[in-house]
Amino acid sequence: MPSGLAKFAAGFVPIFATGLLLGALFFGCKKSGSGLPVTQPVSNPSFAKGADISWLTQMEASGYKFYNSAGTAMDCIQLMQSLGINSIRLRVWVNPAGGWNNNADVVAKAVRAKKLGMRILLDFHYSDTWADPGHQAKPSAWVGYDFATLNNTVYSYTLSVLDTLRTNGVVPSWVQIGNETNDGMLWEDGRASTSMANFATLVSSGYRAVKSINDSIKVIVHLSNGYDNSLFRWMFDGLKSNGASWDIIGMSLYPSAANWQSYNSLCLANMNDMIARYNKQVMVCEVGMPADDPSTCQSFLVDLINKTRSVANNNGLGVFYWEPEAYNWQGYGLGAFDNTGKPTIAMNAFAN
Amino acid sequence: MKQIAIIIIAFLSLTACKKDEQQAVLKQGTFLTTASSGLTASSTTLVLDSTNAANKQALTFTWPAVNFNTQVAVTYTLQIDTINNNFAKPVTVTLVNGLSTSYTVADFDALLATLRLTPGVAGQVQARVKADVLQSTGVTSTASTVYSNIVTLTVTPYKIVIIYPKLYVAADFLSPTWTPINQPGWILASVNFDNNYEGYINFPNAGNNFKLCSVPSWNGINYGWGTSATTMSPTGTGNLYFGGAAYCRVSADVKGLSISYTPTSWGLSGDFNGWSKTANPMTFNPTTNQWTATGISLTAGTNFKFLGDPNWNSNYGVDAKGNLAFNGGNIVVANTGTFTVTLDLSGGAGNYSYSVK
Repeated sequence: MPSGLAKFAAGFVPIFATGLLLGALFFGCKKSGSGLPVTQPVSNPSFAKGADISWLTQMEASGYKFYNSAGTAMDCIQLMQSLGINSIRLRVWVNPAGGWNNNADVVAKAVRAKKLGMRILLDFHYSDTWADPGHQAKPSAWVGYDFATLNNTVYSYTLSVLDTLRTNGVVPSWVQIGNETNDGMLWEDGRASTSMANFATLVSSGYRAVKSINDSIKVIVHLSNGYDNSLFRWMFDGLKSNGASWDIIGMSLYPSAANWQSYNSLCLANMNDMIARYNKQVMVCEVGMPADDPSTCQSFLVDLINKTRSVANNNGLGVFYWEPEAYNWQGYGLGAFDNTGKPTIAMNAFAN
Repeated sequence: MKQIAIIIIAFLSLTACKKDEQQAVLKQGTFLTTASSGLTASSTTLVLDSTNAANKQALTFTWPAVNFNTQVAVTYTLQIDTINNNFAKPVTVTLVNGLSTSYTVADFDALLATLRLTPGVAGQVQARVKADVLQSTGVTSTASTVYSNIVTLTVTPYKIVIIYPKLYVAADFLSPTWTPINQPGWILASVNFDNNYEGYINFPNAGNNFKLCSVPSWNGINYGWGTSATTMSPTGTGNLYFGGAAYCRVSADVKGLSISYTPTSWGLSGDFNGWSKTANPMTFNPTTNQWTATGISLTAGTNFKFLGDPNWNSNYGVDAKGNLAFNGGNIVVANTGTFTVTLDLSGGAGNYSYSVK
């Protein structure tokens, strides 16, 4: 053939061979010959694979160490990163007895996470202790305030914490106004079933504070029981009709070995309904399953992550595991580390 | 204009050029600057606003290439630091490609916050670019680091005003009497949003009666005399009392129902007066509620603090962010000259400030 064509062909062959090789590798990756669940290849690099590690500093102060699968001790946040975690969630308490999860403790953890390039989800409980669907106690110092003062305090306090973080070089990607606020927060003034208007006002004050610091920070309203579409419709219909502002609908999901498949399906349906109904994005802010059944937990996580990734237009923003590093700690059994301080195979779900 | 190669291509070209090695001589680089084309900033005076800050451009820095006399990858590092800091601890951005970098308003404001500029106040920062040839082998480059000209910017970060929970003073020594008002000199504040409030009150008389009100009216909780001079009651009719004329730091705990008073009298102490405890008292103005000292000669780079008593039990310096801090670090004088120095402790804790003008 003509010399030019020969040169062309000679140049083409290595390219073609490389293409074949790459193609073989790619298709080779998709085979799961051993039958283990495999998370789909990354198509959205901004998908949040998260861990709530709020207990970390308290565990470190008690002498706990964390090890990779090879048994080498590592900084816990670095270990999380090596497992595929790219985002860190941190709870914020107002005036906790003992000090854990107060401003200074949160800043210390946030700075460490930021230095490793992690994105941060800040979770305001607006309480001195745990806030959840059954507990939304006002910080003790706020108990005597009238509603107007309480509302201003939500704004000022949120602004104050975020400004302190900002001057320490940390701007979170997401901020939760309230934690598992199935019936509002800062009871009784902010109890949604008594006054959805009050809860909407408090949420909006938190929202304004967040946007005053940096309007790229996204605001989350977070409820538990992500499988419960009617709860979510009740809450967000109410917030919407009372003029509240928020960006993302957050969910918790804590299934059992018997029901994780149906919970995940219901959660996906709920996510899609939230997006269609309110035009907001969704995030799974908290999950957990028993640490002593890591294989089931891995299946649950892989399926939930795939389902969240499957939400159209990348509107399923991510999945956060709650305190995976908690092992032999305060009787908490839903972490994802074994008794020797190493991650279980459940954490493999975050690898891709 | 020579193109700047990225590191990968540079590595390839270095290996490819091995046979030419004896001809490629790395010379001391110089920025290809002329009077009109050094490091520039698209704007040198900026007043930042938080509205839509994440989507608005604040400014762009542009600089010319550096000629190291051979084709190597040049690493450019933009450094920004506060004026007079001489780039001792700059914020840096490193690029191996391109001759410019831009900031959104949000990002630039965050950068200024880490440089401890005071929000709402015009401050000055400096920027320069350094150029290095970083050998891919890790061996120290034979070419020295080259620095561009320095650009000075006057910038005002957004003012984040945090309104802390407050107690308001209603007193027989304030006018109008027995009326709690939200104004400087009449305020204690809780910087941790907890039960502890602090502020400064000027007690002018031999006997001073007052109450602390949770709202600027009588409709909230009004703390008065408890069972002693250092206790309070939310329900009693008796007044809180301080016997004596003094400017006091007042701390109140509304849960523990305790109150404490620390008399202070403010002055300046620093290198300029040999750290004297008596040479430069400040004068309190009960109308402005500020302490001032005029005609103070200061030299840039020297240190001073605000002294509240001869034993240094009460003093203000600054924290790492440059804000007034109790028992804080020395305040470093920014400029040489003769100044009026003002200390304002009238706005409640979290809102104390000073100025040197």
